[in-house]
Amino acid sequence: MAIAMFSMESEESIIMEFELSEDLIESYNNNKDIVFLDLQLKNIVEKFPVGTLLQVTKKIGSSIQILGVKEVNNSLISSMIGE
Amino acid sequence: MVSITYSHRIICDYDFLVWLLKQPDKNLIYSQLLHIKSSSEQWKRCHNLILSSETDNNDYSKTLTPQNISAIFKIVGDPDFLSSYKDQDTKNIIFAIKMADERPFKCCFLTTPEKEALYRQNKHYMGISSVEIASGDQAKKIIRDFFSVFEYKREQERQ
Repeated sequence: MAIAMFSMESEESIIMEFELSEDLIESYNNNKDIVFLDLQLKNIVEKFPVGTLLQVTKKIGSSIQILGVKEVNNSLISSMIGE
Repeated sequence: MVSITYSHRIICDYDFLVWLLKQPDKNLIYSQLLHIKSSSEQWKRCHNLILSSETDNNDYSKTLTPQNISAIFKIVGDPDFLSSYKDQDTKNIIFAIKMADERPFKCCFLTTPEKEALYRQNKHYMGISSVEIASGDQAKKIIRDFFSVFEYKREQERQ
C-alpha cells in the first residue's frame, strides 16, 4: 500500500505505509536507497518486538527516506477511522 | 519474522466497508485487517483487495478516506477482463474468481448480509468452490481466525 499524501515542489512525495518492524529493517538491509532520517530512528525501530505493526512515513525522491514511525495502537486506529 | 501463508486472499465490496464502520468493534476489525494485510507471506501489502470501481463513485465523507481504505484493502484498478461486464456485482464475482487462480487459490469475498444473497444468486458464482462469500458474524469470524494465526506466530517468534 502506498498513499501519496502530497507532492513537494522538489518533486518528492511523502507516503505512509504499514509495515511490520522486521520487514522495515529487512528492506533497509537489502536496499541501499533506503535511509533513516537519523540513526536514532533506526535504533528505535530495531528495539520494537518482532511482529510490531508500524505506520511508516517515507519521503520518496532520490532516495527513500524513513521520516518517522508510529506503533499501530487503538488511538491511531481511532484517528484513522474517524471515531 | 512474522510472515503468514494465509489460506485465502480477502476481497471486499464497498458495502462491507460501510458495514464495518457501523460495528461496535470496528477498531478491532480494522486493526486485524491491517495486520493481515501487512503480514501475508505470499501477497504482502496486497493480500486484501478492493476494486477501484467499488470505491470511485462513493461518498468518502460518509465512510473511510481512500488512504484509510488502502491501509486495510489495496485499491486496485479494474483489470481489462472486467470491462465486458456491466453489473458491478458481477465484476466483483469475476474478479474474486480470477484472483483465486493464484496462490493460495482461494478467496474470501466479504460483503454485507443484505448483499450476500445477491452475490450467491449471481449466475457466474454457480458451481464456484474457490470463492467463499461471507458477511456479518461469519465475516468477523474469518478475519478473527486469520488474525489469530498472526498472533500465534508472533508469540512464537517473541519467545
